[in-house]
Amino acid sequence: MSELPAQLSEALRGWGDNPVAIELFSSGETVPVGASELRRRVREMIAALSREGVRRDDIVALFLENSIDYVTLILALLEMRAVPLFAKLEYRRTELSTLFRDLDPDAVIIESSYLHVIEPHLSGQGVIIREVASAGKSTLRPVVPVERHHAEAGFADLATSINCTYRGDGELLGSIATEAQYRLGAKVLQDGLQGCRGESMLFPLPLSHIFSLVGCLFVPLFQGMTGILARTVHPRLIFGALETLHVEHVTAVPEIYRLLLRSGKDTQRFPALRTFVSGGSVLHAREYDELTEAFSLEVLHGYGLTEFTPVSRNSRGDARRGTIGPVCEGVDVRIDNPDSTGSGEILLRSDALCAGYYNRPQVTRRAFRDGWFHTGDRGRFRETHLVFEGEIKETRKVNGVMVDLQEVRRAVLAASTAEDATVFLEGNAITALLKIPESVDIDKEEKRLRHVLVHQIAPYKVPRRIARID
Amino acid sequence: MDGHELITGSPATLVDRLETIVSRISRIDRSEFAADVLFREELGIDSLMAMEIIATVERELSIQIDEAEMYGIQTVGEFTYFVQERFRTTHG
Repeated sequence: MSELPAQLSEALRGWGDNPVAIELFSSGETVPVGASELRRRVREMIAALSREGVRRDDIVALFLENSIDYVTLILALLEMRAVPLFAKLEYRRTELSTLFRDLDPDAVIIESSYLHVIEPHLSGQGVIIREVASAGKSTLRPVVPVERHHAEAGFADLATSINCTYRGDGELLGSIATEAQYRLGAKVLQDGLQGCRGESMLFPLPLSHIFSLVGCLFVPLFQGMTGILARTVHPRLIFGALETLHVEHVTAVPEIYRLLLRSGKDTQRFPALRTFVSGGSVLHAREYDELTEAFSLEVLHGYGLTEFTPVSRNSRGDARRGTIGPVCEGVDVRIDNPDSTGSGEILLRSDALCAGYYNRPQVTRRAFRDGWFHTGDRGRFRETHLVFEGEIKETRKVNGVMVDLQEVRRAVLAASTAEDATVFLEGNAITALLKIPESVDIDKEEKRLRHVLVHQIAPYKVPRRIARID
Repeated sequence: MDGHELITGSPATLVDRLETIVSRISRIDRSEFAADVLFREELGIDSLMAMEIIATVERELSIQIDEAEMYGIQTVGEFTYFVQERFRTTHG
């Protein structure tokens, strides 16, 4: 029996005077929403979705930018016991083909600007379009009613959401997140953060990531903290919001903190600021030192996966540089086949892990073996703290977002005349080396390929450097 | 160098300064910055890098750029023209 919707409703009913959420636009404008208003919008959203045919157990793919509408939709779908499928607006033909083939949503809710990208992939799904008139003013326009309901009856008893991920095999996967994931994840993140009612958390991360859903949506909602949805990472606007909205906590990826660090002249002017919660990619020990010193706060870096987050996290008063913190309550971690330094693959066991990959039983079996989930990541323990040492699997993080190197390689090969290609991460840039005849002008080919690839794969996956293999 | 020093500089100085900023942040050689080169598709400049370029240009030239104003800008030439115009209207 699901308790999450009831817990969320209760949290909103007992809310204080502070806004539940504030949307920070790229113009610098802010639009707040209070608890009673949000509850009213959720009720209206449920009525509207029901009218359009959305039912319990339906899989509803969301291709949306961060907004209060997005938060409203998530809460409405959870209360209806429909299953949100969190997708990215950056997805292009390759990802969309797999998503519509394997995850096969019953309905899609999309930004109007994205319609032309997704339209060729639609085949009988219900369609609702979000149209934005101006900051904070938007409408949801039903286009096609939801008439297919193909998920098994009772699917929502298993799945709270489906979250997109990769394992380095070159194909998008739908991780089935359970209610236990959200509840345990939010609890252990809050235990580390120690956020208080009336405080606020700013986050410039898309809500399509499970880390943001758990850490930036559910933690603030359960604790009575205002969530500030930053629609921008412009340092001037982020710094402005930290100052004027008296923000206590920020949750972001290390790349955004690096940007703030490089762009901040007077980083000591935020007296309310207490913590930077960090995850999604590697935060080096030196960067940890620079951030704590520049902003005079605690940096709580952690580690998690789409299949469960957080696996480990640093806590206030006990954060250590260069680590991803102690393993969280409710999670067992084992280092598989460790070498002489104690380094090996990180294996997990928990009742709150994802329930497998939707419609991909073989991939699920390979990932869950011998009672353990094989993360495909390498790490070791330093006393009680885990240290992340990189991926074994063929995925890498770029600006906190996972890139499957095999998916990129296949897209590069399909778009070029190269006999073979190697794709890897060099610094923070995806690089592709092509085995291609000397007669081909590689500079021209590089430009041509990039033009083609931005329509084939998410733009952040397009190699920044394309060269010939020597 | 700050914005006030540049006020007395020629447009060529401003272009030079802009290209230096873009090159430093993107780690792309300035020889690739022809006016019609596309930021995203040809230079591979991602959104965070673009934001760092905007923030640096704002700071070093003492101007303000709204993110929304950048949505239609696709080439190095368009960006240079936009910044020159913003610099001129800000500093006279």
